[in-house]
Amino acid sequence: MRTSRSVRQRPPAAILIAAVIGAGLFVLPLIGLLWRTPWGRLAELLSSKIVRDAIVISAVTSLVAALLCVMFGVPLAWLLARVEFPGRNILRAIVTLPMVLPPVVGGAALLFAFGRRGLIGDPLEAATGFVLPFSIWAVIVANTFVAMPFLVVTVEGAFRSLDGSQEAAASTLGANQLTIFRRVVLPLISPSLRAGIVLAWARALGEFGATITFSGNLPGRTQSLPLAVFVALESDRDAAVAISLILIMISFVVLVLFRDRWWSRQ
Amino acid sequence: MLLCAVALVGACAGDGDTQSSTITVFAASSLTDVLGGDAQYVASGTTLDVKFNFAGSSTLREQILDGADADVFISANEAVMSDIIDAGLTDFPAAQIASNTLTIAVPKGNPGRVDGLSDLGEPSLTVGLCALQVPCGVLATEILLAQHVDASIDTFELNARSLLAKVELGELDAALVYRTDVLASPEVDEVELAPGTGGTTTYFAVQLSDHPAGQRFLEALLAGSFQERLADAGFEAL
Repeated sequence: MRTSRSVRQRPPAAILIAAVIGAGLFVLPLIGLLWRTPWGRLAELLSSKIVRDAIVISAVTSLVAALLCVMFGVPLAWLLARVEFPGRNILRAIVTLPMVLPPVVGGAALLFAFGRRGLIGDPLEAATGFVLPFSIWAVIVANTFVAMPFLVVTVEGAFRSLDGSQEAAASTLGANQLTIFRRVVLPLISPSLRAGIVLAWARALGEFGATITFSGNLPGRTQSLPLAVFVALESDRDAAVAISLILIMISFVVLVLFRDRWWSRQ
Repeated sequence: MLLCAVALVGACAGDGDTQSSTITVFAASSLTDVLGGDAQYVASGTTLDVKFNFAGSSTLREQILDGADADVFISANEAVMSDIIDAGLTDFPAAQIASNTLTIAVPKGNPGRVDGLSDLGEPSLTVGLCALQVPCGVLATEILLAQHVDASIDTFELNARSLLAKVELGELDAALVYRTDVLASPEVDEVELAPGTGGTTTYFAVQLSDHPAGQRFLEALLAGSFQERLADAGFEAL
């Protein structure tokens, strides 16, 4: 049972009106999409090989991206929250840059760094023959690039809110730093971590601009659902709407199911 | 009161007040340099005030079908223009203004040693085309089919510009793009297609509103000075 402190009397009209307008901004486009959905052709539109391939690519790349976000984003968030070093604020700003950067610019920057003629990509190809762009790895890198800031911001906030007393207690009991991190700190921040994972995964799933710039667009290899939607918009709008509907359904199920379960529990 | 005001504005717009009027032109992105930039549109002694919206022809078509406010539309092929005419969005006939031919763009120095169309089937090269949903992709696919080349494609870009950009960056070894784009870019070389390969598309322009400046703009496009400008950019003028 949740203790509800919700106000029993009528909310002030001005707030209510503004809130309804705010909600309308999200609800109306969704209704518009449902209204335009070619329900009768839905099964036919969604059974094409291109759509099935795009679903698989989106599922794989967004999940792997979310995993990479955890592997590298959690240590990064910890560094930003707990370690004093020169340039920390600058690093924090750089890490959150993809949240405000137009994704296409992010994709171009990824090409400059990891492209075949890029800063890292060129020597990488010379040494190993591996070329990142136009591969599914490029989709994963682009997804991770745009998604990880959401995890880092969420988790860093959680690291900062810990007062350190439990860590200190564990330390006096003789636990080493890595054990404390794994057994004490991580469990304490787990609600934020889960929220960060869902946010990062959702952002990766919807990613378009950086992906198309960095990894190109090839059905069956790099064409994720958002790319398939965009391509379909130019030719078959019914198909575009149908594919959008899958994206929305997947995101909606995850956000509704997990948000309540994970965020409200402290 | 309000009705009067609306009627008055309507009357004003219908008057052909060329001094203050701006027309909006939706044009295929391959025309960006030649139509935009320092181009001036002078007709009947007045310099026209023209605002451009450049994007892939198919994107523009969708915007227009969705009710976007354009006075003139210029498409990079006939099929897209037909969609607009078939939708009953104009009372005017479409006019040919120029044509453009596909060619192979390679990064400066041709690192992939591309000789001709058949090399696009080489799996070790990274090769790009425009998506089949846009005119340059339709054209590219037509010539590949006609020449029986089973191209090994790494990306279908959504417009000719982003495709060229990937060649400029050296990410693609070869791409089929418009000749004009290759001429405009100092960072790519051209590998010409064998004569008779085809791959020519015609640009069509049409008025979508009865704005008088739209008519003058079309006249300016067809005038000798502008046709020369098109030819300089690598288009085949009329």
